[in-house]
Amino acid sequence: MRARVTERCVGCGACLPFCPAEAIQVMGRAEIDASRCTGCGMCARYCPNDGVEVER
Amino acid sequence: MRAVVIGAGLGGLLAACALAERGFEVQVHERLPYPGGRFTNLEFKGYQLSTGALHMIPHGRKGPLGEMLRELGAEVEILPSEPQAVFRVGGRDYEADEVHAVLSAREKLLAVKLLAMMKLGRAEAGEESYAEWLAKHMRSETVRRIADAFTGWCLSLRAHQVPAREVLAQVANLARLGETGVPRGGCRGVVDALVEVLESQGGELVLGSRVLQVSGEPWGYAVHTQEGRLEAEVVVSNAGLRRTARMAEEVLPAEYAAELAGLRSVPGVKISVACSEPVLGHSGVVFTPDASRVCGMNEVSNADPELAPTGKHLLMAHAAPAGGDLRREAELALQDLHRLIPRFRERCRVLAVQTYRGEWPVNHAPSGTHLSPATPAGGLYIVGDGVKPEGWMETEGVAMGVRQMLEHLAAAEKSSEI
Ligand SMILES: Cc1cc2nc3c(=O)[nH]c(=O)nc-3n(C[C@H](O)[C@H](O)[C@H](O)COP(=O)(O)OP(=O)(O)OC[C@H]3O[C@@H](n4cnc5c(N)ncnc54)[C@H](O)[C@@H]3O)c2cc1C
Ligand code: SF4
Ligand code: SF4
Repeated sequence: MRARVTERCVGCGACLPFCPAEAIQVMGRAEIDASRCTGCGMCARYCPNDGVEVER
Repeated sequence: MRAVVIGAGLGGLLAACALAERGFEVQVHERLPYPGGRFTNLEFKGYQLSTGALHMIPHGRKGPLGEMLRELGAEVEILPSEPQAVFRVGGRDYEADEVHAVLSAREKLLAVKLLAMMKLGRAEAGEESYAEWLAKHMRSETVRRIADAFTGWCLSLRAHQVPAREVLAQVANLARLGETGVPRGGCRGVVDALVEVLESQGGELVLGSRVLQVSGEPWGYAVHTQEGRLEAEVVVSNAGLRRTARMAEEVLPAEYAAELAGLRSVPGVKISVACSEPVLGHSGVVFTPDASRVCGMNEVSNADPELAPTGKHLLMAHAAPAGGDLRREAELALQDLHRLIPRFRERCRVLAVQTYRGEWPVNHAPSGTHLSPATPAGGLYIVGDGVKPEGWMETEGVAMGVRQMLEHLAAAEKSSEI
């Protein structure tokens, strides 16, 4: 998996619309479907909480 | 004079526009790639969800926010909700002035009298919570639930968690101003208009720029961002109370910084639902005292159809959590929606469940906190929903806090402290 949700994620859903792979689901916290995630980094860019880290 | 505003949330943008209008050279630094913070749109599957707010301006055109937008020349059309609010009790909707119909004859009389006093601003309270205050006057379980739904929707707190004085002042303001509205274009309509005003006044908005630290200089402040160092006589932080305490540690007295750091933010759950037809049928608030977690719902596409795809509707529900496990709270809120909305499965599809806490909360400080926007460090101010004066909820409180900040600044300028 390229994108990893951290402890800082609050589940605010701000990343949701920006994921081109529709890999994110949010319910109290973001969950990323590793088989879909391409590691593009959009979620991390739009997250207000540094709630997700993307490995380069 | 130069002013740096940290954060382009609603408070930051209002402050920045007002400072630019007063002749300050203003730079707003926002760490995210978009302005608006918790008050802007999040487009998802053709629906205008939001980063936070439920697309409502609590006191409509005549409230402090509406007034400030007008003064600043921000072109926002606020569409009044009609009805303003109803209460869904036992599957039926009652307008605020009729909801006493669900009470017993004796309770009815008491409730009507009490509400009239509250609306006129004549009800008085000491230090007790709103729940305690109500219990002194009436012992009705239904009334308690109605109170919980009201404060839960407006403040994301239950009646026992808010000082009575604060709620009484809010109800009096609500009654006096008598309107609630939806900005055309949703929250983003407001933010776009403010950014336009800021830029037309020569102010600058720098996106993707995180402020790390504020340090003191003989002439004012140095603001350190990831990219470099800025200088300003006035610094306005919209970054929240705890973040501000950390960023400005060097210039704030330790006791004050500890006070900021010690204030708890208020959590909440929001559910956005796509509807194939109007399920509420108006743009006012539907308070839901029967539900276990959901406190209220609205359907803003009835005010501005552009907030949903053609022919579809956007419903949003807010829940005030009763416990710390927000996933569980969200599940309970979803169950509520199935009970509250007839034929939910047929007509509705859940778009997103959003939870708020920590540094991205419903409120940076619980209602009733009343922290001043002026910090002990001259020229350093705080705006946003951590510094709301008594009686003003949500973004109305943010606007009133900005107004207070400007008064403090004017006084400081007059006595040439800055
Ligand atoms: C679920 C929910 C529903 C709500 N519903 C309503 C409603 O219907 N009506 C209403 O009036 N209000 C509502 N509110 C409240 C309203 O959204 C907030 O009161 C308002 O948005 C707070 O604005 P703010 O000025 O505190 O700024 P914020 O929105 O907190 O913005 C602060 C900005 O500062 C930036 N920032 C932080 N740290 C830094 C840094 N170090 N450097 C640079 N930038 C930084 C952040 O990225 C952010 O953009 C709701 C809130 C929530 C969560
Ligand atoms: S990863 Fe960030 S944007 Fe996504 S839900 Fe968590 S906190 Fe919100
Ligand atoms: S890295 Fe890109 S693909 Fe992966 S979850 Fe984030 S936005 Fe989606």
